[in-house]
Amino acid sequence: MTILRLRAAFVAAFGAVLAFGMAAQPAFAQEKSGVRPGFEETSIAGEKILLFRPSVKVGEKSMAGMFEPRAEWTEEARKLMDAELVNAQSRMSNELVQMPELYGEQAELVAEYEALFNSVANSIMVHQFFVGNRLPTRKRGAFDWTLGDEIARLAEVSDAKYGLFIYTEDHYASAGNKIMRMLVGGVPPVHIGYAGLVDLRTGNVLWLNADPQMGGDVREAEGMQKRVSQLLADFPGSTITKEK
Amino acid sequence: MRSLLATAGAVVALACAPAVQAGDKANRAEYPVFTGAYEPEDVDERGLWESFDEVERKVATSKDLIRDEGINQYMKDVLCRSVGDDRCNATRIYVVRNNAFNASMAPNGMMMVNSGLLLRMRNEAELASVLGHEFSHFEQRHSLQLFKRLRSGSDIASIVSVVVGVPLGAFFLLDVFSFNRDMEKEADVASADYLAASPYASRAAADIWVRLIDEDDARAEERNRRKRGRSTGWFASHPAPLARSEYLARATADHADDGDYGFERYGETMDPYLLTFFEDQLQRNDFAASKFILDQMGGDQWRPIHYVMQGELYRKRGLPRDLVTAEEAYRTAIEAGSTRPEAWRGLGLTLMRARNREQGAEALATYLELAPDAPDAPMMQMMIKGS
Repeated sequence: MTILRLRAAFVAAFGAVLAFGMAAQPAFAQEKSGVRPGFEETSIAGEKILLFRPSVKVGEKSMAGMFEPRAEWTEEARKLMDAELVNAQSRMSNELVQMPELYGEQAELVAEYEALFNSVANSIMVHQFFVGNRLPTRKRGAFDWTLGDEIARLAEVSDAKYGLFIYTEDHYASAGNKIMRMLVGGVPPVHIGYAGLVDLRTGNVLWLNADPQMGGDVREAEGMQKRVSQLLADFPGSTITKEK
Repeated sequence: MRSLLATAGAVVALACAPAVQAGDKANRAEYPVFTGAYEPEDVDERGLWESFDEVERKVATSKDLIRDEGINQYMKDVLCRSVGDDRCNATRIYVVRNNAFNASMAPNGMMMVNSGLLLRMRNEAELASVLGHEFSHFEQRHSLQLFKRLRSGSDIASIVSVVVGVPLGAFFLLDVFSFNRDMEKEADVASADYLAASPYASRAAADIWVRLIDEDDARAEERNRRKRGRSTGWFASHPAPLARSEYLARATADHADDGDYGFERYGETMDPYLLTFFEDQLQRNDFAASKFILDQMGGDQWRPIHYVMQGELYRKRGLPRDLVTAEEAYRTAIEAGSTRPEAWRGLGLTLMRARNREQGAEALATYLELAPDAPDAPMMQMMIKGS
């Protein structure tokens, strides 16, 4: 009996309107990355890496701050991302294997692990990387996150020892939103991205790189090159350097 | 108030009239014209579709889906019979194991139907009316309209907030709710039109909402709170069930004389799932409403499975007197020839809890004979040994 998205959209819109009553938030969040203790970069040299289907979301931010999904931008960004990842591979010692289109139980298994990784990555970002909701126990805690060793089933299916997950979400401000923020401030548009490497035999998160304010316009080839270089900066054993 | 009660009475009378299981309707209406394959048009609509295509990828691989071919084909068949063959192929239906009474429609044609809704439908015609309602959200592109309304509403609200202050700005968002209610009503009316043109009994549409009011009344009485469902609040996303039952009864009155209810087809398809769906409902810890649902389901034709459900209902509330009722219900089910292992499981657990260990262990042993691979088998064996 429900038209999907009413509740979420309303909360977003209402929140955006209320945000005008508050002072502009300082931009505090910076790029962060973590490496699992004891992980040696040399151990993945030359190994096959399974690339999970990158999550790409691009849209516009309305005057009041509502997210408006843009199909053209998202499709273009997805194409550019795929091309750029092939490009980036030449600077890594690893072979990136794209996740094939799966059906039935295998598709469900992969979907479960994609969802699990997203949850764990979010926990890492919220509770360990960034101030705000960081847990005191995690602030200087070890980077010892894991998806559990049952993920080994994916290693069997894919014949890869490692898995790479990539997420980007971009809200480009509309003209109205820019004017509004000039007048009264407000939350800057979202340009969040993260990339994570998981050991498919143990489930351990070996490396995660996250930035809530990424650079590079993902709708253009040049911008995407910058974005991917930022996502994969400090990727273990790679020669990719971050473009500012 | 008086007239309100009178109409409610009329609706109930209409709903209780004897069902006519007839083939063709005498005065069947025509389906409205359908434009055929639709592709999103403007930039907003393409964006919405694309984002829900991504959502659908996730839904399609969800663990909560019921994937059995039989029930999925059945849902599709009912939708096709409800809205017509040329329309129904534009959508994909996903049956979700979720105990809430709901169904939803995404702009790209992804329809989700909760098991909690299937538990509450009494016949195929009622299901057809709900599926028609959801389809109409798709056909009339309600998601897009709502999206645009929210954006323009929030834009105005933000401008007003800047100029005169936040409280007044927020006021401009309120009409989004009434806008949403209007679309729900529009979908109800469209669904009544589909039903009129379909082989189904139109009257079924109003019955759903009368029962929903009664279910909430039962809940309200148990929880000692105000009864809901009679008036529509400011923040309500849908018209109140009473209003819906009234205008649906009026809209379908012309086509109410005959038409198919499909009691048997619905019963046969849902039978294998009912106990699972009811167990999910029991997780809500909502005794009065669960009892109401069971009473409605059984009607005056209680079958062994209904007694098993009754046993579960009372055993899970678990007052001392409930254990007596539960034991009796399980025994009735078994005597009436129930072959469900759950009957012995429930009986065994009830007896154990009532400290009748010997007989309890016996019933649990029978359960394990019938379902040796049950996931709780090791625990049951432990209970038998410990007794």
